[in-house]
Parts: sequence; C-alpha cells; structure tokens
Amino acid sequence: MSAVNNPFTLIGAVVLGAVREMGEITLFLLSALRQMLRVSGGAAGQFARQCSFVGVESLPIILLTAFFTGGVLALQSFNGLSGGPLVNTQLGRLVALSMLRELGPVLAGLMLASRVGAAMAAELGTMRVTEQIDALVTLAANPVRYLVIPRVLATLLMLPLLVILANVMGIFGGYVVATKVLSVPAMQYMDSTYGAISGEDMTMALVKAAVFGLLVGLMATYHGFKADGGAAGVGQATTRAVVYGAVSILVADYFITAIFV
Amino acid sequence: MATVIDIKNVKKSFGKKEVLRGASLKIERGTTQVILGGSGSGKSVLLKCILGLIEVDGGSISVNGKPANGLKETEHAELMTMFGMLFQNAALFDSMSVWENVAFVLLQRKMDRDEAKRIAIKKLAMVGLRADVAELSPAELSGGMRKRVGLARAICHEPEIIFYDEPTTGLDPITADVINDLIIKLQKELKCTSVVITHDMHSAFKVADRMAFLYQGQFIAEGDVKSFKNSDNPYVKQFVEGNANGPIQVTV
Repeated sequence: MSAVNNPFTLIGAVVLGAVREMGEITLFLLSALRQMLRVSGGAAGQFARQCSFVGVESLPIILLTAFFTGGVLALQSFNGLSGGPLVNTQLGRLVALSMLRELGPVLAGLMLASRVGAAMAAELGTMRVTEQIDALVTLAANPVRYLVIPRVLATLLMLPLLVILANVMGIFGGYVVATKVLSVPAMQYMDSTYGAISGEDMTMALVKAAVFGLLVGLMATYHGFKADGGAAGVGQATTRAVVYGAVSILVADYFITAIFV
Repeated sequence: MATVIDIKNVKKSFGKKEVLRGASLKIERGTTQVILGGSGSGKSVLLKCILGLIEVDGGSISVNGKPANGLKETEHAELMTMFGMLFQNAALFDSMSVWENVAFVLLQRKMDRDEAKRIAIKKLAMVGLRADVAELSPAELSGGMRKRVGLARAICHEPEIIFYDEPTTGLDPITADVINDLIIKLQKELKCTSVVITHDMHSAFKVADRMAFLYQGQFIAEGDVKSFKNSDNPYVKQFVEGNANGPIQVTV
C-alpha cells in the first residue's frame, strides 16, 4: 500500500499539519503580544483607522442581523411555548438570555470574521505578495507592530462594544415582534426581560466578545501574513482567515460557556 | 578599496530545493555592483538574505565588518537605516499618498509632516518627478513613475547602500534607460554603494563598475565590465549573448 493511500499516513499527516498550524498561530500571537509592549505613537493612526473600519463600519450589518435574530427568537419561542400561559412571563426572558449568552456574541463574531477578517487577510495578503511587508522591514519598521497590533487591538476592543449594541438591538427586535405581531403585553415582556438579565450574563457576553474579537483579528492577520503565490494565494489566505475565524469562534464559545455554566 | 558587503559561502534551501549553494562575493564601497543571473538562480533570495528578510542556513554575511544575520530586532532596524531598496514592482504602500510613501521613514521618526513633505518633494525632484505627483495615490502612477517613487523612498533617509531588484523589468526600453541614467546619477550624487540585480544586459553594462554571475546558487564569475564583455567562460558568454544554445539549459 503506498504512503498516499495508507489511511494511517493520511491521518498522521492531517494531525501533524493541524498541530504545526496551531503552534505557528500561537507563536504568531506571542510575537504580537511581545510587540504590543513596544508599540509607539506611530501605530496610533493605524489603530484609529482600524477601529473605525471594525467598529463603526460594521455597525449597520451587525445591528440588522441582531434585530432580525431577536425577532426570529421571539417567533420561535412563542411557537415553542405553544402560545400558552408562560408566553407573557417567559418570552422576554428567553429572547434576552439567548441573545446575551449565545447569539449576540456568536453572530456578531461570525459577521466580523466574514466582513472584517476577510478584508484584513486580503489586504495583508496583497501587501505580502507585492513585497510591501518586506518594504516595511527595509524601512526599519516592524511589520507586526505596524500592521498586526492595530488590527488585533481593534477587533479585540471593538467586538465587545458591537456585542453590547447587538444585544440591545436583538432584545428590541424580540420586543417588536412579541408586542406588535404576537400581541404579548409590552409591560410583561419588559418585566420578563429585566428580570432575566444578570451581571453574570453580561460578563459572559463581554468575555466571549473579547475572545472572539481576538480570534478574528489573529486569524485574519496570521493568514494574511502567510499568504504567498500571487492572487490565488491571497484568495486562499482570505478563505482560511474566514473559515479558521468562524470555526475558532464556535470552539471557543463551547469552552467559555462550559466555564461559566 | 574597502569591502562594504562580504558574502561568504552563503547557503539557503527551501525544503529540498537548494537555492544558494555556497555563494561568495565581496562588494566594494562606492561601486555599482551588478549581480547577473537567470530566473531562479537565487539573485533575489541572496538580496533578501543580505537584508535579513530571510535567515541563511550556512555561511555569513557582514556589512561594514559587522554580521548582518541573526541580529536582534533593534540591531536589525539600525542596520536597515544603512540600506535603501528599490523593489521589482516598487512595493509602494497602496494606502498612502506618494509623498507619504517617500517620507515613510521620516514620519516614523516623528518628523513634522510639513517638513517631511518638503523633503519628500525634494527627493521626488531628484528622481525627476514634479511636486504635483506628491498628492497622488500609487494606483494613479505609471510603471516608470512607480519605480521612480520607489527610488525616491529608497534614498529618502540617505542610505549608504542602495539595492535595486530588477530595476528595468517591465518597463519600455526608453523608460528603462531613464532608470539606468537615474541609477548612475544617484550613484554620483549620493556617493553610495549600489547593488543591482538584473538580467537585462543593456542595463547591466551601462550601470556596472563590477559584475558577478550567479549560476545555480554560486558565483561562477566576477570582474569588471570589460572582462564580462570579453569573457571566455562559456556560461557567462552564453548569458551575455542571450543564446539559447550553450551549457546553460533552460526548460520552458
């Protein structure tokens, strides 16, 4: 049996490849953390631009997603409760907890991975294949400090802010559907919502958002930096940034939830 | 004449592919050294090794007697201030205007923006570009203009050594010759050392003081322009004459 057809060889190669990649991503993160301590004022302009791109410009799509997610949650939960007596007291609670604990951070993280992660990986990948990153080094600038830190910091800081607004919008979406479409009394819906939200839920939402933000920025910059082979290489790097970003968000979501629950 | 860059027995492989297999060359201060070689001969890899963009596997490279490889970050950044580099496709930063590209190092050193712009415009004039180009974005420039802006950026911090990676590739013959003239002009004005990597023989003979031929990861010939024009080395002769028949076999 040839090495290529041997299933053990294939499994071994896949596992080794995955471990190597995880190791490289960890080393990339460590190098970024080291450089973070040395960031000077020069990267401040880059950071401000990235915050605007990651935060302000992502706001419409994330708020739209959150509004409809809240609305769908209200609809589905209403059906789940069979429109019975628990609806008035539990619907707001279900929507609020689902948004805060899960859907707010995860959906905002996934939207950011696809919108921002793809753009960052494509930009840095293009800079790599057109030698702009090499040019930075020859001009005595550290590319990790100049390109990676502002981007990772922007996603790390902006996603929690986006998630707060997404949660508010999701709860509002649920409120609109519940009160205008499903005829749930507004006061009872709001009482149910306020009663459900605890400090721990909000902490969990913010911890998830910060971790997801770090993962989106890290995957985007790492894969952008590793791009090679011209336009096709940039395309592959962009795809990897989005896929790795999305998958790592879902994996991290499980572990953070397991810690809090 | 003092040696400014000393390349000793440098080896570099990528996976199983040996790109540099013991390359050795001394580059003298104040000269224009042309490095010739076919596609895939290892010219650009050697340049990146000298600049510390790629770590060598074996051998050593020293600049002004100091090692240029395995440096700490601050030492490497200091070494880079000695170099200016014109990349093959200029490698201008798309997100910045022309003058911000040229003045990049100055802006990094926190120079006042007006002052940095004034110096950038002066450097643009040195490479034959008018001040009204300063506000354009790199995407609005022609290939020749991009090279000139790349050159202005390379000389902005007044380096001792300027590298040119295929400076005339992709340009029409007239624009290519304008770039050749610029290389000679800057060499005279800045009194620097120039290292030109090319396979354009017209350009090589025009700008070179010394020439070296890199073949299969090793320097197999080194000398002045005359010795290359009259070389008996069958490899050099074939390359200089651009002949498909000879000891160098190219598969397309």
